[in-house]
Amino acid sequence: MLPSTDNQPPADTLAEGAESNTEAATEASDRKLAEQVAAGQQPDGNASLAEVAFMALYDRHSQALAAYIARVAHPSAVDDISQDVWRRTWEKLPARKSDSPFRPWLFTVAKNCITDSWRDATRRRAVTLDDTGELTHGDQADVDEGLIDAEVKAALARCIEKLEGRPRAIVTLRWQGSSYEQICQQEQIDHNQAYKAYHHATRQLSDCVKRSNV
Amino acid sequence: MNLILTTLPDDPAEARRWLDRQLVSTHLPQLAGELAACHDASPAEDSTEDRATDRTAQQVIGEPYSQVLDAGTSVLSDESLAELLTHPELLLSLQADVLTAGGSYWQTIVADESELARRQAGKKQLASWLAEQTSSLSADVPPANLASKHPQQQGSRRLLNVLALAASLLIAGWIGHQTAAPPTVAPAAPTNAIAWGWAKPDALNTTLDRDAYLQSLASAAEAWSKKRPDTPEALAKRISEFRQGCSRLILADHRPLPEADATWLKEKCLAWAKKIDAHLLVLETTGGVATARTAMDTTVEKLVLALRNRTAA
Repeated sequence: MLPSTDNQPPADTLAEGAESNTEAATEASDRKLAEQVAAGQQPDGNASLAEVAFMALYDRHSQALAAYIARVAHPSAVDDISQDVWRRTWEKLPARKSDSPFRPWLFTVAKNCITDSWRDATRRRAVTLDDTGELTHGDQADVDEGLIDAEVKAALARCIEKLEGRPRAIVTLRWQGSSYEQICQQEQIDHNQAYKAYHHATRQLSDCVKRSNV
Repeated sequence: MNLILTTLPDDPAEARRWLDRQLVSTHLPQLAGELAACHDASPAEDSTEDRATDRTAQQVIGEPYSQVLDAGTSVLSDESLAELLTHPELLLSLQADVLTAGGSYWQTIVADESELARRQAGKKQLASWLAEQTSSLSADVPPANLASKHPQQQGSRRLLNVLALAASLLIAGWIGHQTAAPPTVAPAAPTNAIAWGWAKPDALNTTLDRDAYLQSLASAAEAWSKKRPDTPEALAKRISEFRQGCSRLILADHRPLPEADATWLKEKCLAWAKKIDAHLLVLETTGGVATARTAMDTTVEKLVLALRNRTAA
């Protein structure tokens, strides 16, 4: 069922929406939506309301969830795992403690789905998630290092090696945040030369990486 | 595979917005791989080499770190940006914090068009699964519950359910567009460089007088009809961009307007926003481009007329 475009929302509804920019309001509305999903699955609940609330949660968190999954899963598995996470989320919401923040809880569900997916396939990156499903923090440099896509790194490294000295220097400087001004100064060339050399080199690298079939 | 680094913008401010998109993207491990290859290939550096090793993104960025988590990498110094690009494991460390502790700003960032399309496809898939679940939920309701002993109570209950659903759709629509719908943007400062309508960075020209300001808003809204998207995805994006402009108008202070006009404008914007949310919901639910586009056309026509009439008042 769709809302009539002519219905005026209650004032408090609008007020709640207008406040949703603040973190607290966002979290509060997450909880409210999660509660609506849970309540809607009860025998006398409003299933349609639950469905709409659930899709609102999807709109809000699906991008972050996909990025979270992609940190540790093979790129081709991200969509399937995401679906799995959302389906489990729907099923688990009725039993969720309503006072806990939604996103960390969602990531915990995701962690379990990722672990399950690893049982069926070789995982791509040499990392694990901790027991709570939280993402890694603090002095986890080794873990962060392990998240780097090694195949891509190797393929691009091979292609960069094929570049001549100056184009290679220009590309690597540019990709490490140097401005054209800094590159010109370092390489003793003018802006035009630097610009042309950079774009020529990036085309070569793109072609080379595509040929490597990563 | 396409190299992400070839899309790194030349302009420093744009490069930071680009980085924000990468930080919420599923492709960050790939980008980190590219940067790592680049770092290994670069000529041996000086004292700055590896100084970030064993440090977290928070330690490298320093004090502005909480600002980055709240409002993105626009606050990063050139040095910090270069250090993140030189040590891609730091980007992954930053992403971890952005995903778990990042402010609502990050929900307004759309990684890229392909990820948006994937999310829309995922949403469609999930919606069909959900429809099966909810229909089985309804089927599970015992017959005794469906046939109430008190018809009047049943009628009241149904009415309450309908009202609750309508209110929730409005809440959900509002929330969805405030936070994660196709490129949603913090209303006061659009981040995704929408180049038309009220979300366009220079759309609210506070140097104008009252009448010119209202006229400029009407003209900006008319940009809606300059593009006629013919796929659900493209139309959803277009509607969402218009909707972001609405948010901006609702939250702006409209200095050129007297208080009565500003209040009127905000109230009208709230009503328009509600209608736009409903149009988008129809589109997302039915996939009907023509219906949603016609409905949007009507809403935009009415709001342009209202703005122009207000100028004459």
